[in-house]
Amino acid sequence: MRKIKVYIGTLGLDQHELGAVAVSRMLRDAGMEVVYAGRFNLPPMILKTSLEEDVNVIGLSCHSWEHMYYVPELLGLLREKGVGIPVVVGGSVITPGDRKRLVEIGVTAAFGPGASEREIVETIRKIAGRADASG
Amino acid sequence: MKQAHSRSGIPLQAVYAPADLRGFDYERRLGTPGAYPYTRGRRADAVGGWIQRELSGEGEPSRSNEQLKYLLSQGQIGLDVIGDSPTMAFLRTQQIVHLESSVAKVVDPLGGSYFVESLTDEMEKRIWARVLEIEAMGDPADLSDKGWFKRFFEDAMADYSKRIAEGSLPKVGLNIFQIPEEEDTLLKEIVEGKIEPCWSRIERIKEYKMGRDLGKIRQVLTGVYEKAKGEENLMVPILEAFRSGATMGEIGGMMRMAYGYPYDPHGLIESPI
Repeated sequence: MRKIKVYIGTLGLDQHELGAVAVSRMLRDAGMEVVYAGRFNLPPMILKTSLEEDVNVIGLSCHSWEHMYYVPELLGLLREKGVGIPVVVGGSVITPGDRKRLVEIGVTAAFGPGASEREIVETIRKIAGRADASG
Repeated sequence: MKQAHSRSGIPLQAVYAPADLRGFDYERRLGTPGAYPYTRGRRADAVGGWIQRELSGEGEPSRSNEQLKYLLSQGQIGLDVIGDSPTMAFLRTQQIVHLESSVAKVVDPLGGSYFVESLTDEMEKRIWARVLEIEAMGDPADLSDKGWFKRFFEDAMADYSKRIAEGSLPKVGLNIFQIPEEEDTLLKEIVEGKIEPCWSRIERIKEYKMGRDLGKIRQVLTGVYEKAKGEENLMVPILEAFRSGATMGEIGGMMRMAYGYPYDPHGLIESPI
């Protein structure tokens, strides 16, 4: 069976990359394949890379204000193009209010600053539809 | 008893005593406050020795300016400016420590502590050992190209997050003494408050850019690009570019291009040259 493939990147001008790198490592160690897009990603670029790489999940790291602008834009773009890849966000600046709002508009899961490695890995496995699979 | 360690892994003793600082030469190792090597602070007196500062600055420049003036009006006497850190929470705590305890009446109150000084010596020893180890590995530029430094920091970060996850590194509120979400309401309204991006600033920048002598801008930016491609001093063309009205973004873009990166990493703005 193909490994779960996850896109990981940060949005817009957000410079804080450590969280994205840390999560990429967690997913890799859990047996997943990570397409690491690094910094400076805008919704059209995220969509393009995710389609080209045929990822199962789009993971966005949020440590600046941009998520409340770019995530809705990305979701709109995915809907418009009929792309059903689930979007997951995580980061230090995601407040309970943001989490609620993002899930309401279609984000599949949102992790705040206290999320554990286990929670992140298990949720992504579940979202990718492989709750029982090892990788 | 289990061996205790500092956060960076230095073994800690239960008690520190003169024996831990045997041969410690005060003048050479520590020195007086206000004198070289300034180990005990840059001032010899306690007046102004305690500077309240906090990271401040958020959003666009006019808003940051407003915030900095506000902090100064509230008694802050030092400013640490960062692009995106909204703050005001810690100034009062610092003022309480400063004004209500006597700790700020003394310069460097912990200087000379058996514990602090032996810990500092141990850190220094370990830092030197690490520097020599890295130097022995060869050219730092090669190491950097091979991703050695990046991996070094990533490993440290992974280790840090593992220790938090396991609970061996306690973080109050995160992996110990957590507050249930429904009770965790302090400052939550402020946290949820969103600051609208200053869209008008974008318009102002566009207007500013259009109002310049574009031929001149292209010329000075080309100068930055060409010098960045070679080995010459970049300061001269950078200063000339700023004086002619080029922006930091444009100058940074020229340098990115010269080093083989796109002018705009987002691919939204075309290079002016």
